[in-house]
Amino acid sequence: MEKDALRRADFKTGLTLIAFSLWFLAITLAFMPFRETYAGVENVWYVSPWIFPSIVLTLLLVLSVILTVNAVLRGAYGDVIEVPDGRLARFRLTRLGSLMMMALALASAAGLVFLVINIEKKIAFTIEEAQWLADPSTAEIFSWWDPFAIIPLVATSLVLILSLAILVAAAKRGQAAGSVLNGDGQWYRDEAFIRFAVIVLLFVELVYLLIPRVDFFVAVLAFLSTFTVCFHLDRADIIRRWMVLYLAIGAGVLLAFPTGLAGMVNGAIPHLTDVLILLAVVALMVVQWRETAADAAMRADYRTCLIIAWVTPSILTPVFRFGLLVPLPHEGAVVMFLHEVRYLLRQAGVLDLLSTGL
Amino acid sequence: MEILDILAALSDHFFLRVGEFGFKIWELITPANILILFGATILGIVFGALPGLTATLGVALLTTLTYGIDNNTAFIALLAIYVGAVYGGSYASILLNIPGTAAAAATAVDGYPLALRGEGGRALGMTTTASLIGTVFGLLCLILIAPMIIDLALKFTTFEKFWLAMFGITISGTLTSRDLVYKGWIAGLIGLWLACIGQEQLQTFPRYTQDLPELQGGIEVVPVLIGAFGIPQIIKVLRNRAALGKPAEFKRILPEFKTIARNLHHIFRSSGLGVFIGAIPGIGEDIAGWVSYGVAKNTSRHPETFGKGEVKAVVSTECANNACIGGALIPLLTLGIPGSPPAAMLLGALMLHDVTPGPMIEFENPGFIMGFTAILLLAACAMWISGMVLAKQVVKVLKIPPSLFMPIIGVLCVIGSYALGLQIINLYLMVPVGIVAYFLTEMEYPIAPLVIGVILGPMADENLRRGLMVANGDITEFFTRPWCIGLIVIIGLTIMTQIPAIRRAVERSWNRFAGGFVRPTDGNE
Repeated sequence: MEKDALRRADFKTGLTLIAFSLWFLAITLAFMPFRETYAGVENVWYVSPWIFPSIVLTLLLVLSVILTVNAVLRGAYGDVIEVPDGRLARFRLTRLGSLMMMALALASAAGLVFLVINIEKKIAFTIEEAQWLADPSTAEIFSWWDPFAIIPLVATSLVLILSLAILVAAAKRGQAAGSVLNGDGQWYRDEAFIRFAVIVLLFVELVYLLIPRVDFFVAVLAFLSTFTVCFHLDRADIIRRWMVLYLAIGAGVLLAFPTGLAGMVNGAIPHLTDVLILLAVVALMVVQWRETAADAAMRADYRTCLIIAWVTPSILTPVFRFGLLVPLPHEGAVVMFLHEVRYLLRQAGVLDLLSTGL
Repeated sequence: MEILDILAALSDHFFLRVGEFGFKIWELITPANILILFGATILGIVFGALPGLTATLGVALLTTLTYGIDNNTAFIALLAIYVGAVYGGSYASILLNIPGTAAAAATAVDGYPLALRGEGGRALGMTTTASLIGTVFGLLCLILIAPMIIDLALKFTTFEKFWLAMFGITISGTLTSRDLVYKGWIAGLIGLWLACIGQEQLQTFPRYTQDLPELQGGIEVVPVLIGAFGIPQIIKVLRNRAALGKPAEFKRILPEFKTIARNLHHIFRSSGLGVFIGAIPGIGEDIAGWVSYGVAKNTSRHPETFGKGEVKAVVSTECANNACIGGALIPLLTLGIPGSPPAAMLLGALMLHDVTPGPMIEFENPGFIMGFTAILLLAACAMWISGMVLAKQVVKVLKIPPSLFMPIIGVLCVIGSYALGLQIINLYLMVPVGIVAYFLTEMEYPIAPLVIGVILGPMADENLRRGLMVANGDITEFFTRPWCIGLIVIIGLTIMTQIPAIRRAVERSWNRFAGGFVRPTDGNE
């Protein structure tokens, strides 16, 4: 990545890491036992489960702040220049101004976290033991709707929202700073981004939708067919159809399984959903095969994609299921069929012959 | 006479150890083991040769396949793929000018010009033999140094172990960062935080589990690492349309013993560097290759020849990156701290096979280090034979487009992550970890410290609290013990030397100090 783009990325990452560490620090301090009894055992502070995560998150917070400030100082959030149409932009910030706005955002975020923790005394240590954290005068317990709780909460939230809004607005209006949030152009049309998005989509659908609910063989067949076609072939129409089919399969699984429709269907005819998906994939393979008849090179590439899509699960499924004895995430139509084949082979004595031969 | 007695005792001990080593090798040589040895080595060479596939990913995927096999066979497969993959990177480096693995990046600088001159076969012959020598050097260091480290580590208490874990994170983050140094530290801290997820060891309090029973046991290391190393590679390789290109042609591959003999001093220096760098937690073979290249160039009488097909450059980098294997196994086996990312994966594999690396390894598994070293020697020999005999066939693999083999790797990552624990949550975690790891690598965050953090997190957490328990809450115990002070000083110096203001002050002081010994001259003298 170029240095300028890297510093802008550092700015965004830094803010994300600050938010991450503050959030989990709040959870750590609020919900982990400090001194009170846990599981029947009296606790002491030095064996409390929050010590190590707190140290780690605090160090992470410090380094994230350094990262963000460094990104700003090295030009991620550079001096705002005049906008091209000559109008004066609102929220024009100099480097110093942007640093101050960030500090204000950070301080208000930290204050908000502190208030959330201290209201209703969610943390177990007393104010006397943490003098450096709080003013003893706020040591009373408040409920959420008490004015002494609501007013600071609302005020701190407003300051945080306002400072972030100013930062974002200034970034959008300033040409150099605009790239902090919006990037240098229509990044979503960039081919590299599209390819990245497609890979992520393919994996997300495979892992979260198909693998837990569809036969492993069928899921991998659909995944590999789409993946290899999308990245190995250069025909937009073929790629589009495979993506539409793959997304349609995912949408169908998303609709049919949580609603119980798939259960009803599979109850009537076992593994019907697997068979339907398999048939859809095979049908598209056949249709596309015919369409590539005119182009020998395209057909050869398409054939290679299909071979990989079929051979890979054909090897992996029996190796993992019958060789390594790993139960597959979902064993549906094809895996059950392989079980039957194995049973028949064993009945016929073929498996015993093979094992003695080996 | 006393000296003679000592010498006699030493030589008895030496020959006893040699005999023990030979017996271990003899025990391992069975037809099935030899088949697996060569199969895994060739698979490793293929993994190393194909850009986008790494030794770490190869070891990770093979870990899932060897889960149910007996220990010796499993370790043969894992070490063979490790050695093969580190060596295999030189194929793409020399023939395509695209490093197959990061470890072979330095080899491309002089290896590819050699191939362009029609000396591709010679270059491959040199890298094959140099890799063998480097691996053997590394394993000799492992045998010699491991017992000393174990003796030292047995004297460590909880206080020293806590600082050792922090040292591992700090040094790994410092040396692997290519951009800002604190990016490495941030990666290490993220790894430490990930290790906190799950029931903690002392009170079994569930941390960050969101009431999910699947997270009570914490995050499984191997599936997460598969995601962290596999998915970013798939995305990186397929994100752009670039094809690999046609590999350079070459004729026979010869062992090049004469060339090796002429460069013996480079070999020993590079191997020593490789072992030293491998022994530092989380650094790995790629740094070893570049450091060795840099030293070879700086110490050469003709540095201008580097980059144009200099033989000693190729020999130095390959010796170093393979010697790094033995070096990385030293802290792995003796302290339980992996010296490189593939060693981190090996750590996961060892734990799966009920072998807990650390100072107690020889007590719980007598003769383990000797056996492991014997396997490493067999793997090195198999790598050399495969390289000499099968190079031309392996090179054909380079013609396979990434768009065909990367999707298969994706499926292997998915089934591999699931197969280890049979938990679907491992898959659910693998994808977001992989995507986050991709973004982190794009923004030049090193992943090795994150891996080290995940592995060393429990060690740091337990030893911190156990130490405080022993000291009844007195934290000064962490700062007053001799070894603790030493580790704190090293950590402190590592951090301080990265601060720009301090570096500039040190440089100015050094220039002033050095300037006092150099008499300024004018042109007339």
